[in-house]
Amino acid sequence: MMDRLRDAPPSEAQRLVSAMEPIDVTPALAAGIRRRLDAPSRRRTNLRVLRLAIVVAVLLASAFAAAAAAHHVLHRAQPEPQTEPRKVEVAAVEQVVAQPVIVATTITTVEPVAATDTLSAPVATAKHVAPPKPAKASDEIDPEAPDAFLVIAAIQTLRHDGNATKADSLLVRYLQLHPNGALAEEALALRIEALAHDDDARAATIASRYLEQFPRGRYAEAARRARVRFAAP
Amino acid sequence: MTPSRPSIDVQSVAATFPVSVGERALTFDAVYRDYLRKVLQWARASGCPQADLEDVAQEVFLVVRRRLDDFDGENVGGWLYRITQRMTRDQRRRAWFRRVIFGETNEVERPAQATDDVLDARLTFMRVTSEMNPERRTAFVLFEVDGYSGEEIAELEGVPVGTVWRRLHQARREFVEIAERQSKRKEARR
Repeated sequence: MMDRLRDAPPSEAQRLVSAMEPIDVTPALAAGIRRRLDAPSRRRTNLRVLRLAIVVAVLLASAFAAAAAAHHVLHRAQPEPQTEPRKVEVAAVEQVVAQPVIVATTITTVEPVAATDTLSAPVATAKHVAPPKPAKASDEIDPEAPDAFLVIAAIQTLRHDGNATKADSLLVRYLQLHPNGALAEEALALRIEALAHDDDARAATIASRYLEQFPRGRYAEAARRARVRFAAP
Repeated sequence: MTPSRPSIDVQSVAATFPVSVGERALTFDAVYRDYLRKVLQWARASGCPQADLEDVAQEVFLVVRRRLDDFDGENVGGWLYRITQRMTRDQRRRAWFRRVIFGETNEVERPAQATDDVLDARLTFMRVTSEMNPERRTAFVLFEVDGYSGEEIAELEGVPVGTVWRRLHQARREFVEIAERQSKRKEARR
């Protein structure tokens, strides 16, 4: 049998224990809890609402995170004319190099376009630029469609390999397939960069086309500069 | 003919610690009247913050009301004790969530007659016990604060009395150690 601390000689532990009082249930306390017990539905509803709110918040957070990740991936594909060519990891290069082969097969199946036709296609002059075909809904909601690799491959080809002609042909293919696709703005901007890289005057035409489609686009300023620089005398 | 429901001997419940059902009908009102105080004690001993005691009691009796019809009536005290422990655990989890997400703190309610010293001692007691091993803390608070006997605690916890004494010895040592550690920490901050 042990003695209780509150009966022990004074000490810090004895002081702390003695400060605590046994639970005192007053009639008011008992009645208060009982009243809440008899009207529990509101509390339960509140808990349900709270749980629902938490679930919605978690879902929103997940969606936001997914959107941010997708945006990050797409953002990396933006043209940055002023920056130095990026150093690319070997694994990434291998992946990108492998992709166009698959994509090319896909494109041939969907809409055969010869590379030479693409390069010599009269997209350089304004009168030959066909009005963009309305994009299918699926083009705009599926940024991870295989055709996106055309744009990614174009970036690598342009900035890593320095091959602007090949990059431009990849971008032309993408824009033929998806004139209003999710990456159309990036593809047009990259075309301007690719043509400007080779001092090709068609850059002005593409810049005009960009400004028509995206007058307030992210690369509008660069497009204006390109249009001025490559404008016909 | 259906067998009559188990019942509570209200007088004996009021006088001693009730662990079994007596002769009279086991009604919600009787359980509430006879066990509210004990549920509050058990919740506090299980580490429920002072401010949440009433909420835990409410949750416990909501469960009681929902499940009373299915209860076999064998050990009301043990049944309520387990519900209280579960509800207290849930409440502590919610309190942690509120503290982390909303920055709420567990304040000790200040009774009108409590001086600053008493209030400070209560706050320190709660902080110290919140760091203790849960089993030791329960035995310690029930024994030292609520005046339970070793036998009553053993019956509640479903362990031999010797185990309760051992836990109490260890709990005192742990209580003193944590109190000293917190005191040193407090002085170092000044």
